[in-house]
Amino acid sequence: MRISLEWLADFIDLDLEDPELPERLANGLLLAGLEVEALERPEASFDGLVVAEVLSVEPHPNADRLKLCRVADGAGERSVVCGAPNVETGRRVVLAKPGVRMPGGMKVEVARIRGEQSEGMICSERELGLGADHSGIMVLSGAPAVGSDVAELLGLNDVIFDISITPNRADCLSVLGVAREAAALLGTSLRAPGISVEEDENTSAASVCGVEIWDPDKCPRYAARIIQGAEIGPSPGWMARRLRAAGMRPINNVVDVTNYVMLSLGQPLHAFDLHRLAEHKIIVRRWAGSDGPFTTLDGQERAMDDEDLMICDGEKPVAIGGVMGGLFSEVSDDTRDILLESAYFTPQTIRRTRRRLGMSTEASYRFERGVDPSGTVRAADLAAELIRRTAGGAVARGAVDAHPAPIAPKQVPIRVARASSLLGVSLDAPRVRESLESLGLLVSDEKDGVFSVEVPTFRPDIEREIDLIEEVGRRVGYENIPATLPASGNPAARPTRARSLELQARRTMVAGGFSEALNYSFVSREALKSMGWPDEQMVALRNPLSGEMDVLRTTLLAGLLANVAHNLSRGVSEIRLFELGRSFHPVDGEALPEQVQRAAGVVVGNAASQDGVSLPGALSELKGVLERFLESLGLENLLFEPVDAAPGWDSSGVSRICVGDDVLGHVGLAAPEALSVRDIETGVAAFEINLAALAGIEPAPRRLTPLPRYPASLRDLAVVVDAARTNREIEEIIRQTGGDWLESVNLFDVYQDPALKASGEKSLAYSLVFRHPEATLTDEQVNEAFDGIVGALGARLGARLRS
Amino acid sequence: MSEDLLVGIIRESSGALSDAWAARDAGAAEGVRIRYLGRKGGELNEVMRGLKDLSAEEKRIVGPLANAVRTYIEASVSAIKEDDRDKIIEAHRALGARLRSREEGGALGEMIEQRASELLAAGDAADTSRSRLDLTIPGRAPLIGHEHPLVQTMEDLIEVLTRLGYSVAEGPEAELDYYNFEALNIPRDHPARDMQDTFYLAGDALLRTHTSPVQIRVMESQAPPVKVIAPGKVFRCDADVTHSPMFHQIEGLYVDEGVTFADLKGTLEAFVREIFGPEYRVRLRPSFFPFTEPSVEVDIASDYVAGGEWMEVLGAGMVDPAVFEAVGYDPERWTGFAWGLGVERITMLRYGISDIRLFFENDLRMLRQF
Repeated sequence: MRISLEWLADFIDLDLEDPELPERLANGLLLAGLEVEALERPEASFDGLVVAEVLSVEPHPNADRLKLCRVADGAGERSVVCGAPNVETGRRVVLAKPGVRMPGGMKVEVARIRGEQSEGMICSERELGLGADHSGIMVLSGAPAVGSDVAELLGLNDVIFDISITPNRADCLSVLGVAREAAALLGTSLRAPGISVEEDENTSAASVCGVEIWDPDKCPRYAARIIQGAEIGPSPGWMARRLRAAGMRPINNVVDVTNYVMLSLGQPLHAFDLHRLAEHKIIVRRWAGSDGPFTTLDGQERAMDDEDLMICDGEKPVAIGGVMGGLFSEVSDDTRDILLESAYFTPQTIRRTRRRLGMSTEASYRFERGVDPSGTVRAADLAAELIRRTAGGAVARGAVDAHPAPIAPKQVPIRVARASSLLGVSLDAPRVRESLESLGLLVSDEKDGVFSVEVPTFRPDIEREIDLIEEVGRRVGYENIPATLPASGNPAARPTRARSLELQARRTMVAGGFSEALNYSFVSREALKSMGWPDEQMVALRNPLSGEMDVLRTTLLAGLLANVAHNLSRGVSEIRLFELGRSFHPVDGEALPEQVQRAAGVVVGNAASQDGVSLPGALSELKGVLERFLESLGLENLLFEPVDAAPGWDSSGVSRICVGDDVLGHVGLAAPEALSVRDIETGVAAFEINLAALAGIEPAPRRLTPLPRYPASLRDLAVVVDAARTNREIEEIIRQTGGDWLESVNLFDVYQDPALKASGEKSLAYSLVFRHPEATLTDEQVNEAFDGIVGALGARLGARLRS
Repeated sequence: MSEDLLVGIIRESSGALSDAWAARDAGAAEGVRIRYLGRKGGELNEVMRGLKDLSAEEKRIVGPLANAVRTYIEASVSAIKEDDRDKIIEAHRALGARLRSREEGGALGEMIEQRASELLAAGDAADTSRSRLDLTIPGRAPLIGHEHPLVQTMEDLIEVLTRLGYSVAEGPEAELDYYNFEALNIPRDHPARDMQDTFYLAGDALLRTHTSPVQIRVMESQAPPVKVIAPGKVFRCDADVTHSPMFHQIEGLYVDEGVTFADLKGTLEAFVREIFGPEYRVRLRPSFFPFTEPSVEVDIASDYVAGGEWMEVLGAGMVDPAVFEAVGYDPERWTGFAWGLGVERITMLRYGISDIRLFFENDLRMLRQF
């Protein structure tokens, strides 16, 4: 809402000469909750800008295109050199005397121009900062007095407050409302807008038109005024200037008056051409199927429904109530007689219709927040009088005021003690009374520490005691309320298992060289499809911003793969990323999808095994960090089980991560199709686990293993087995058959040379550690255990020792 | 495997050689030579004899390394016998450099080089002729990852708030209309719904537009007093340089008997100074949120930042009685305050980031700066 300081002065006494007033007022409004986002003030100094009359125009002796003018400036005569084509004797023009600083910074001085003295400057609109016109000088119409102050005449010194109004403060969507707040904070009183309409006593409005309200639930009040014989034309300068200052474009005197009154008092108005209303009648009712679609004044045809409130004439709809007028009833250049509408529509009705139509107008914006139902006739009066003054014509006597459902002011109690205890500041009854009265609320006498407050209808937001307490708080000023710390309650609870898991996952991944990514919870349906996710497993957004984000993610890998593509395209090749976040899965019969906290990671690198049997480097790195994380949780029975297919994974290189019977997720290589659609030309190793499932698994308690007191015996075991055998199978046999003193088994080499490849075999080498807790093992003891392992591997897997 | 045997030989021989040098014990040095290079049963000789059984690939790796170890032992032994400091150090450096050039040998190489510097320093501090270490040479950067800057800010905030006694609570990102709006005193036909452009899912489900629904879920599940924070992702249909369709908030809620607006003010001041610094001023401006009343916007300013301009950082207020009624708390008995802040905004202020979209591109060139 753009509020002009000069317009505010219509309602409150302001010292416009005070240079600090705008700043003070802006700050006061801000601290009262009316957020002044910008304060626009003239950059120029217009002292010395006066109305002058051109007395004579002579050619410049030394320049063809310049003229030598004599002008009267009210105090005397002076010579001015001017180059404008439209400078003519007798015209009233704007003279900038030496000393004036123009918008843009130029200072006017006495100068010699081509040898002739020039004692000032005759200004164009553009030079004054009023518009773009620089084709000639600005010629003042209406014969303003010579020597009078132009800045005042044209409002050049006006200051504009651009205020952001919160949705609860409908009353501040007008100059009047802002003036009410300003009056409270400046400690001055509000001048009620007194309006006297000069009426045509011979004609009453009721004899010209009729108003019927069929739906008082949606329209409790509708007032009409009639103006006959008006002449449509441009608005007077002062009105056009105020409209422009408020950010509206002047159109014609009648439409401008309706906008002007709306800005001034907050009441939206609509002007109909009386003769386009069948039977000169207004009927306020719901849209009926037989009405058909409706064409609004912007030329759009709109489909209506039977909850929409229409303003109709004797036959058909002529406007969408409170939202927009119709194309065929609006005021045009040859309109003479006008029916002026000033109504109160219920906020829910307007909101519903304008949302359904996907439009918002200055009128609907105010109606859906709540206009003052008591201000209806006052606004109609002001508008009728202004039309009479600016467009001529006669105002018919009285308003037709249909008012089937009057809205009474509310009575709301406030306890002084409650206000004090809630705000945390000691308040007495007079302070509370004074605060509320300064805002125009009517406060009864105190009884047992309670006031009953009559809330005028211009404040629909105040309904409960808390609303009044807030008003008291605003008036006291939040800066005057002390800052205290509440008595400390209980200490914070320990983090939940889910949160500690998340923190631990983050620590391990970062220590392992992975950087953390954060991706949107939504992705494109196509991205998931390319990973093999079926539509029915996705949760769709009804109103996505774009096709790039139209479903909720089912996997964190969709985002991480996009990040890989982004980084590769920027020349970053060493990529290790992880993410902690939720995936979403539809559940039959549930309103909300299942939302699973997950961890996922990716490492970019060659996806091919170097020799066909060892892990690709990227996968080995990734799995190493994943295993450190899972081990750090003290999980037992961690298994990697082969699985044939899973969405997004390369079927030849993926396994399930299990703890006992619980499946935690997957680790392996990203599916080639998922990479190629993202233009990723390298391999990507990845894992994704369900942290929520992990949270449900109790970790084994952590206990110190005593440090060994006797030396270990080391043996390396290199076996050749069928290439289809897994490390897990071999390790299990080693552990089962290695005897009580086998302390650890570590795979340190896997390879396949051409000879092994030819025989369909591979070699695995383990380092075995044997140790007795209470003795030094002899070679014989160790050899016996070692031989037992070799024998078992041979018998059960056909393995042989590498020669 | 022979490569591991070699590693063992390097470890053990270098220990023995450095002891022998320290004692200037030529006999011990000769012992080392015999143990590893002796004609009969010299351990290194055994390894070299085994080379013929290795695959071509392995030979290529093990052969040259075995040779380097032999040279190292020979040179060291003769250096000890000749009491030649330069020679023994050179022998260590040569082997160290060789090991470090190998992929897996970094740590071992470092060990050997370390030993060289020890030899250099040992027993001869008076020797001023040796050159100074060039410590302007950068150290080797370990491979470590980086937490996302938003997560860092969020965890910092959580840390401060946990110290103030707040426990962490969580709620769903896909939320019901009831929790996101209705229970928070935002009925369907209320203009306040326009304050937040909502992403809708099927039926009554939507993506939460703020973390405030967690307030309701927490209060529904426990009796007062309540002191929680709810960090998390929130969603709004809006995207440009300063708006992201997904961003992060932290919500705080404190409900007890006798909680006042002054307590809210004091808590926010303490919190802001803890997060931003003690030099910050805090200003509360009346504002409007449907679920708090009175409601405030909180601005902060420091003389040292942005020319002392006020910057809006969070919204707050006293819990609206309608919210207490929705969760079955008696608003006459219990009062409380709530506040919410945008993690992106604070992170942008903190690190001078002007484009919010950078947070979600996950460009490693950006992440590695934090």
